[in-house]
Amino acid sequence: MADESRHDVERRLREIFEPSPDAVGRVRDAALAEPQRRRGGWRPALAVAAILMGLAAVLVLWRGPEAPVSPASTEVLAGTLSEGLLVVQLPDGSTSITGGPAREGRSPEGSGVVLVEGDFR
Amino acid sequence: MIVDLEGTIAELAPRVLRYANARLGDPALAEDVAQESLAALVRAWRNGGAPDSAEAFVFAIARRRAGRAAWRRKLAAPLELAFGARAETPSPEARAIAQDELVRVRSALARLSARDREAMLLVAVGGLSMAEAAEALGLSMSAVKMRVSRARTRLAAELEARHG
Repeated sequence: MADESRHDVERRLREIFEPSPDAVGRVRDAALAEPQRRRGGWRPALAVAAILMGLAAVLVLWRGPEAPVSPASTEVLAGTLSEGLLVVQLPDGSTSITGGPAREGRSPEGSGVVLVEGDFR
Repeated sequence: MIVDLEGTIAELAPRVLRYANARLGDPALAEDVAQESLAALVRAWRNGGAPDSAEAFVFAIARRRAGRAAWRRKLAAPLELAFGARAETPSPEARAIAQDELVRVRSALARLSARDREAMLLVAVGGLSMAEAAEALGLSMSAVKMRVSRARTRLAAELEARHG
């Protein structure tokens, strides 16, 4: 009895939502009219990748070759401390100033090693 | 067993359409959902051959698309109301389907939980086997069987109560 009732429910559901033959025909025909193959699915992606690679290559070439780096040299330089600034005489005759103004009204004092990084000619 | 594409589409079209009708209650929207789902099968079939289960493939797509269509309809309903899109006279077809029986069944279906209703519609209306419904829903077969059985019992009771 219960089984009969359940099967009756299913039958009622199928009947009540039964589509019209016209609608079924439209759906079937439209689905089968789908193109044979979606062309170009991967081609746009490939084109974009090629463009990006081209741009990357242009950027690399734009920078040009790296400037030659002179070998590092270590020299002991003499300098003076004046008004909180360390003034160093470089071998080429120019003057390099490192350090900064005194903090809290005190001049920097003491001794140590100052690393001057860079290259000079 | 149907192995050709046209035969498969011809066999599946009324079932998917019936399922979409039951899910959405809107014949035009149901046609769109059924057509898109079957078109997806046609594309997949032509590009890579027949899927393991054409039924599970199509109904898995149909249920996702029907879900999205239902959401879109809910979101658009206030706009349609505001612009009078729903104020049209119902077509003879719409009037025909707005029968007592349909109203009664739809309201009984609405009382089921969404999970039970979905399993029930796939099996009872879409005509999927338990195994195909399990694949379409991403569930174990025993879970689907339980949901369908629960839905059948509740739906029968609901309809009987309203009828009596």
